[in-house]
Amino acid sequence: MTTKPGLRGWVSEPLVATALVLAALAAVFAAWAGWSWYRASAAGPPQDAQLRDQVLQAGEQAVQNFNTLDYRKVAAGLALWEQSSTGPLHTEIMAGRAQFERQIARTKTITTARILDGALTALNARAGTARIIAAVQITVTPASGSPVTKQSRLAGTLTRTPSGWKLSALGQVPVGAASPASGKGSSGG
Amino acid sequence: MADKNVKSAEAAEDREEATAAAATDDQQSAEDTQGAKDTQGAEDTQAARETEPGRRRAWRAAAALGAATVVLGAFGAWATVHANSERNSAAAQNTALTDGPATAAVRREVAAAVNTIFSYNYANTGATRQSAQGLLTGPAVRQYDALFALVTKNAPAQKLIVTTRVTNTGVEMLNGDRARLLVFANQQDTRAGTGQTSYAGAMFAVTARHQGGRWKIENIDTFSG
Repeated sequence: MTTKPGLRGWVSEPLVATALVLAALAAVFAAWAGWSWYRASAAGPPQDAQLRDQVLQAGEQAVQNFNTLDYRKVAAGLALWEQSSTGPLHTEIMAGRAQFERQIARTKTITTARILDGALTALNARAGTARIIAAVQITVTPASGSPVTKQSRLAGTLTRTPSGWKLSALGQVPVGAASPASGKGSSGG
Repeated sequence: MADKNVKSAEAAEDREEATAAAATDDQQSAEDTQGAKDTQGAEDTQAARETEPGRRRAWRAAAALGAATVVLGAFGAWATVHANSERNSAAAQNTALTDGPATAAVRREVAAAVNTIFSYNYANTGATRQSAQGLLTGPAVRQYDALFALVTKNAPAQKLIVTTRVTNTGVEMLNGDRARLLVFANQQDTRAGTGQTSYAGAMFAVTARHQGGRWKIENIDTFSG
């Protein structure tokens, strides 16, 4: 009565038992890995981090576009300005475009820019706005004479549009009186 | 009489019921025994009959469990790889802006440190130098010493009062006790002798370390290289 099930247990149950143990271990491992994956995606906020990096990159590219213009390719350069801007800045460019084209044709300058460093000073994902500051090295090559290089402190506002983040304001940070009140250092330009 | 009859009849009924109950009990216990015998008998024959199919069934169970092991193990490996890549990605480790309070703290402390170390009065350059000691670390200590040697030499002769105010800070990278910021600052130079004041703007990147409960400046990159 007991010999036959015992024999059967001897032959087949170690196999089942082993498989069961391995499956249980795999289940524990899968649960642990799944949990740590969940934790990693919940704790490490790739979404806002990705957005931050993406907005900064778009902003730096836009700032560079706005400091690049070749009199031989004015139309293409200004088209890029239009594409890189939105809101008030865009309106400003559209309004001044004709005058700017005449001016650059006369001065025959080539302006190139290199972003030395850039950072976002604010990012509001819900409102779709961000503020950027950038250290830019601008080289202006005149029609005659040697190129002039200067470093520039720029601050801008970025706004989200259906076709990406674009500059809605951009300007130099003024070299003004050092006001003790602004010591916190977050007031954009 | 009539009462007696009724009573005896009742008694008879009671007896009958009792007997009936006993009979039912007997029947049940008989059935129990019979059922137990039946089951045991069936098991015996089944065990004898199904040694081969039983083994086959065990193999099948083992195979199913093995498949489950493979699937669960594969998922575990996949999830582990993803968890690690998410944890180690540069974007995820950089908490600039994504960690609001930490970002605000490093901006505030670095701005305060810059304001302090680059503001001095010719009459008491030692005060600035002393405050700077607790705000600098690593390579910045030597950088600052070299710079401040010039200040101590020249400031008294020019009666120079320099006030530095950070106007903009942006955190590029924030990872635990390390940070990198882009800083814009305005500098007001006043010559006490002539009362002449000039303004200058500065931009530089600061590498900061969190040490002893506050952010200290570790390196200053003025983009001159």
